Amino acid sequence: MKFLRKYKIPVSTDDEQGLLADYKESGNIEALGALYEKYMPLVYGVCLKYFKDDEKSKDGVMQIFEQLITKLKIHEVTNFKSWLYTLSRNYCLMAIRSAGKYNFVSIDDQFMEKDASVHLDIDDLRENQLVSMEKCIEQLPEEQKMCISLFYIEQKSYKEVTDETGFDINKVKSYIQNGKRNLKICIDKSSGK
Amino acid sequence: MENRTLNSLTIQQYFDGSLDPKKMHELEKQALEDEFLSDALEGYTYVIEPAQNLSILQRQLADRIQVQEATKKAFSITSQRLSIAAASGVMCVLAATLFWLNGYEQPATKRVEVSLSPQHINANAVKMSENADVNSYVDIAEQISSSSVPVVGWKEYAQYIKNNIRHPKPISFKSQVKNIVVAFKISQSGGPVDLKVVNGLTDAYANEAIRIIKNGPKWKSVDAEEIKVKINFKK
Repeated sequence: MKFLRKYKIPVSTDDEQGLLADYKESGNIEALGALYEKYMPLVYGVCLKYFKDDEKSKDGVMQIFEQLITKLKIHEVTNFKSWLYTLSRNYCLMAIRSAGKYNFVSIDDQFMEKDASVHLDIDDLRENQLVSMEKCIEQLPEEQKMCISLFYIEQKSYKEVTDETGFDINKVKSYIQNGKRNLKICIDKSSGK
Repeated sequence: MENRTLNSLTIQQYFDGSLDPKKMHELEKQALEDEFLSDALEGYTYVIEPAQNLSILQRQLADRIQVQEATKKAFSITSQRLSIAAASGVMCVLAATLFWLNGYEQPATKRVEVSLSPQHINANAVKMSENADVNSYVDIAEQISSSSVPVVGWKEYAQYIKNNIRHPKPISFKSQVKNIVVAFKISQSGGPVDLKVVNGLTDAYANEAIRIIKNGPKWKSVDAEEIKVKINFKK
């Protein structure tokens, strides 16, 4: 069911800022709607992660939208995406707390995907670093070496890596994470020389 | 590749396994950097048909916005309505004030009519005798209606009343002045007939007022109408 769209879904951060400013000035919810639509799949996904339930998550998405309506009138938001992420997470955690259930999330799961401290941006490395990188990769434990190579160098997906190595997908993620950490240590050591 | 936001189709395909491997890899790499994305992807492992759920959500969002816009329109119309209400409120107040004023005006006009006649007659009296002191006439007696005049003239008539009026004793009224209004008609000969007191009770004062007019000078009748004369008894 398509309705006449006054506001287009934003493409760039500038577009987003434009929509935010529009909403603040006019109070026109359609602007918010366009902005929210862009990130709605992410919000829904986050809710799913915490609630593990479709209905609750759908409710959550709509409730978070309601929160947007009031909060965006008051707050100045420069990075909408991260602000929305925090808002969504807080909503989910509050909802869980008030429901009285405590979800125990395995530390390993979290650790694997979100190890922000080991941020290895391969694209930025210079020539000599690439060389030391190659050396360090060689020094990695076998499983980590395989996974890192397949994922980063051959640009394979997790599924493909799983298929090729026979490792369980979670193990693949774990190897990649640990491998990244080790590489960082190694490269730092070699650049320290 | 920058900021390719997750859409429902991509999600569906990713979990179906039908997404192009390269794209899969891109997504996964992005997820390593983007907490929001990685959380979301994790969440999607708990549902079977993410695309369907997402389209339902989109419809819900659209509906929600429609509702808000409708209520907003109601509100904006209300602000117009407020001004209409204010205007009609002012008009009601104006109408009420007009009615109120109208209610007061008529007695005022009546009063005006009433006061005009004696003044009118007195003015005639003044014209007839230039040295006439109008106030002294009004103190004693006033003609209230009709254009008939005493044959001798009002000045003489008032003088007659002043000289011949007998205040009944004891004085039984509280205010400074007691007025008796006598209405009468003029006979063929010009004498007052059919005398009756218009205001007040039939008491000693009323009888005296009737007596004095009855025995007073004759009248020149202009028309066959009733004449009213007010006699003032002062303490």
